[in-house]
Amino acid sequence: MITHAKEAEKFNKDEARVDWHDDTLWFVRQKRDRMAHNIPEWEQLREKASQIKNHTLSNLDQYLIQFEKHALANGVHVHWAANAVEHNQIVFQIIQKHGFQKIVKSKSMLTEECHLNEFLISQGIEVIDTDLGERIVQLRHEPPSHIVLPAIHLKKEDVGETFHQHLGTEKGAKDPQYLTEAARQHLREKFIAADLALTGVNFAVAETGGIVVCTNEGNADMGAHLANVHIACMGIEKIIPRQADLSVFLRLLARSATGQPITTYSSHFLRPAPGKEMHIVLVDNGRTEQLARADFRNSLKCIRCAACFNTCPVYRRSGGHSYHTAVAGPIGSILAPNIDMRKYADLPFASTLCGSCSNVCPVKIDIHDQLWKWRQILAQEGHTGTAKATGMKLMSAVLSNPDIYRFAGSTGRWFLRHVPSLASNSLNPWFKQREMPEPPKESFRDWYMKNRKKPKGE
Amino acid sequence: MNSRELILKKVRQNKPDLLPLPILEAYPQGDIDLTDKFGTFLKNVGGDIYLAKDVQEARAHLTQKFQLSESIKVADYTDTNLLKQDPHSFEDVFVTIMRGQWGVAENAAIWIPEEYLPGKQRVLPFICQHLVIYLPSDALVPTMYEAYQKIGTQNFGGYGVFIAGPSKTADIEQSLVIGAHGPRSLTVYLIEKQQL
Ligand code: SF4
Repeated sequence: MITHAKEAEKFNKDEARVDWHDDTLWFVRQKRDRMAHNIPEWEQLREKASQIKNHTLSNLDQYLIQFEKHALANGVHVHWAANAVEHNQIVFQIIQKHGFQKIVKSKSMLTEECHLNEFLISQGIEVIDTDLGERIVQLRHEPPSHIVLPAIHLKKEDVGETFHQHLGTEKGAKDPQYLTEAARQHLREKFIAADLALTGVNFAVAETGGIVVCTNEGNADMGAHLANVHIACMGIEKIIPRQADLSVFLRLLARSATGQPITTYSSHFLRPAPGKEMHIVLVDNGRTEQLARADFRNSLKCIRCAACFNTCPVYRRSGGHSYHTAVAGPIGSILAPNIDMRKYADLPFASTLCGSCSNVCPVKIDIHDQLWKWRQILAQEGHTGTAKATGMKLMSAVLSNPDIYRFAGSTGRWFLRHVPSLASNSLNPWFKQREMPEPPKESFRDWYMKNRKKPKGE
Repeated sequence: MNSRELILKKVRQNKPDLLPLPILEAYPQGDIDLTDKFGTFLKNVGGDIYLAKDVQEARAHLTQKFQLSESIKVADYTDTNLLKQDPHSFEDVFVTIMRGQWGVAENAAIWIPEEYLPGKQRVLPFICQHLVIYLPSDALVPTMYEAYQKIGTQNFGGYGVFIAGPSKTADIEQSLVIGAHGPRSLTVYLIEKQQL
């Protein structure tokens, strides 16, 4: 049986890599902090987001009906899938009806959850993941290890080798700029040739029947606007009541996820373009059961920002694959046992219950409380035999060895190494410390201050 | 029972008692210079910004900046011929030039409703190598809250998008690379009010 502890042990074999993984994610966590601290109303926004989601779950049937009504009026086809199998069938039938062969996909954790790719590929369909991180892991026949940063477990040398094998880049090349350019050229061909584009959904607005998809790369839009048919797949919990609610969620999402003020693209799809076809698949797959569990239902508020992953000392030092589920990390450890208690009984034990996850969660899910509650239930249901034992083993493997678990220590060193370079730019650290194109010689602010007083036309 | 009925029935059975829907509110941003904040954030997300007194001035500037000539393909919002074309035909567009409706100071996101897309072609801001947006200088709002108040729910057509900077990725070792699938640069011209 696969357990988190056993998988974590494998990940822990390469200590230098574990340190690097830990530091990288902690860096993302700190970018999140700086963004959050720049917004005085941050806590009010979290509370607002939490209340909107609580309300939505308490009226979800009505909002689903409202959403469907508006989407249909917009000329969008709406489908309902009780489980993963039905979801995959619906998608396949649309593909078959048109006789399509080539599909491009942008990131969708739901389709990972449903194992759509494997299914479609087994039916002879070409399915290309177009998010760069997802494409990398797809070429390596691996699942994503993180819901926002799918290839975060890989070093650039690994990516270089993968691209050398599959895309013909130079042997030994590892420059991210060069590798990204190679992927850009490769994926452009796929976008141009695709018959159908599949995307996920970040938010679905009951009031308008529209969906919103957020990306930095622009891959969801490249796919959806070129292909003749667009299918958007979503869990039923993605509904929000009003379009204006997006103002709350979009202010929180990217800041929590990557420490950006907003993703590059926040695309609002309302109606298909003339002559094109758009479908939305609404998927349950265990969500209505989770809704019934009073102690766990608010895990359905999750907006998949992954802040709880980046802050989690266990995730950072055990890697996403050790969770053996599509959504890893603290939130995944709550969602997975709902679907299969026996198979995922180990996951609620993959936590120190330090509470950091609950502190950063933008929609205020009581993550660590729920992990603790799962442990009680799993004990009552007799699933803890192996889970507890492996849980304890995990703690000794990942945490108690001071050489491996240097949470506080590595953080301190991290500061020494990186903060001097960051201190120079408090506004958006994402671009500092990264390979930014040549910085402007004069800051916009200086320039603007100098120029705005000038009379018109000069 | 079909899946729709089944899902709705289970939701009805399993949902908690009704909780209130909160009222949305503005959060005062203090005494900020919207242009300054917008410009600073735009630079920080990898964009470029210039002030121009009118569209002609902006056009002259960008013609130089991108060294435009007859042989370089430009998709301009004033070109009415774009409407009927197949989106695939834009594969070799070098620069797309379009208007933006609202700019958000807190994150440099620019709202583009469908009718602002050249020829209503949704792919044009993504498929081009470089993107240029003309934004009226009085179209800036402090936060996303004010932006959505302006946008409303009726008038943005079948599609609308917030764009903040050029396309980018950090999927290889968290190293930022500009120009993932979409444009390799974003240039914004703030056009003096009433000129656009
Ligand atoms: S549980 Fe909260 S912090 Fe974790 S991914 Fe979901 S929204 Fe983000």
